[in-house]
Amino acid sequence: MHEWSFARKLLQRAAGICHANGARHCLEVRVQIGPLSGIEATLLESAFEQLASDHELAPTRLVIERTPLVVRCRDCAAESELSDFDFYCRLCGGRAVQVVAGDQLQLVSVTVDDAAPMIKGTT
Amino acid sequence: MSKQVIVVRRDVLAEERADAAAERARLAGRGTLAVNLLSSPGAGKTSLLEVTAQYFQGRRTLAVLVGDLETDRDAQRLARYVPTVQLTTGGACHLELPLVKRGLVQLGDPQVDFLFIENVGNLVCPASHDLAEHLRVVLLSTTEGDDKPGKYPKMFRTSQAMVITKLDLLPHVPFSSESAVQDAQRIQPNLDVFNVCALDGRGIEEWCQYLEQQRDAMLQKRDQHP
Repeated sequence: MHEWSFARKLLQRAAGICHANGARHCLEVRVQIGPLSGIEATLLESAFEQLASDHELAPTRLVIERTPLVVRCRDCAAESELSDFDFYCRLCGGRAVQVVAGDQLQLVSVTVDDAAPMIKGTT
Repeated sequence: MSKQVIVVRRDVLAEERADAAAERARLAGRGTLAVNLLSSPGAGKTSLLEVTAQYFQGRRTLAVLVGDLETDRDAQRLARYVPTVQLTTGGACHLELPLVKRGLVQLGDPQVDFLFIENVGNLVCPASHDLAEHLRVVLLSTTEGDDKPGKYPKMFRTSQAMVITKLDLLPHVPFSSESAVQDAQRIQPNLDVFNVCALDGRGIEEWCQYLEQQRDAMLQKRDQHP
């Protein structure tokens, strides 16, 4: 059940970003997980919700996007999307592959209001 | 009121990874190979460490950090052979780097050849956390079943070696080492595999020689890219 620890880290990062940008409210924290992230989405949501309710960022919400597991072949450089945990290049069959997506909990974005200018990704 | 999206696109563990890399380099600098031992509870991590410590006695210097939810029972067992500090997580399911660093301070930050970190018994959560180890080793005991690698892919994917333990029980349990290895190597093709029995000593010499080789390789790499 390490989702609590990840939820805590997410709130810390989001708070740091809000402070750095002079934002007063954090509306949304968007993350991406994949099959090898070691994260159970429902547990992360529930941990985040409970921790966020007592946090300076409240009220904020967590949005979880899912990304597939992608490997890059060291021999032919092709990228393959894996539908299971059989790690080989789907193009050349080589076993020397490196995971390039789907093994992290990635903080994608933080949506704020009343933020100071000079930040990228303004909508 | 203006709504703005601040794009981050960063691994939540990026800072921890950077800290771990710095600590790994520091340990390499003083000639210490850090080994993170992982398994489910009761797979034989402490027993493997006991026989490993006996093998290296008088030849190499070792220290152990041992993680558990509660009690110092493992530390008491190991302290007979090697300087040991128990890291009690108080319910947390895995170790994280700050705990390891604190444990090293408690140990007196010794300049040893091998630092073993015996993680909390758990095949899930510890897989996500870099503890500054040079070598990650997963143990799989014959009593657990040969179907475990496929069930816990992240643990086996992120490990460099697998040690199959409790070989003496093979005649009594429906465990195929071949199936377990095949399953694990679909996930991690480069996995080095050892078969051991801590009680009768089978495979221990091979395992300890592997540790020596890994330390030599680490020292060589350090000296090539100081």
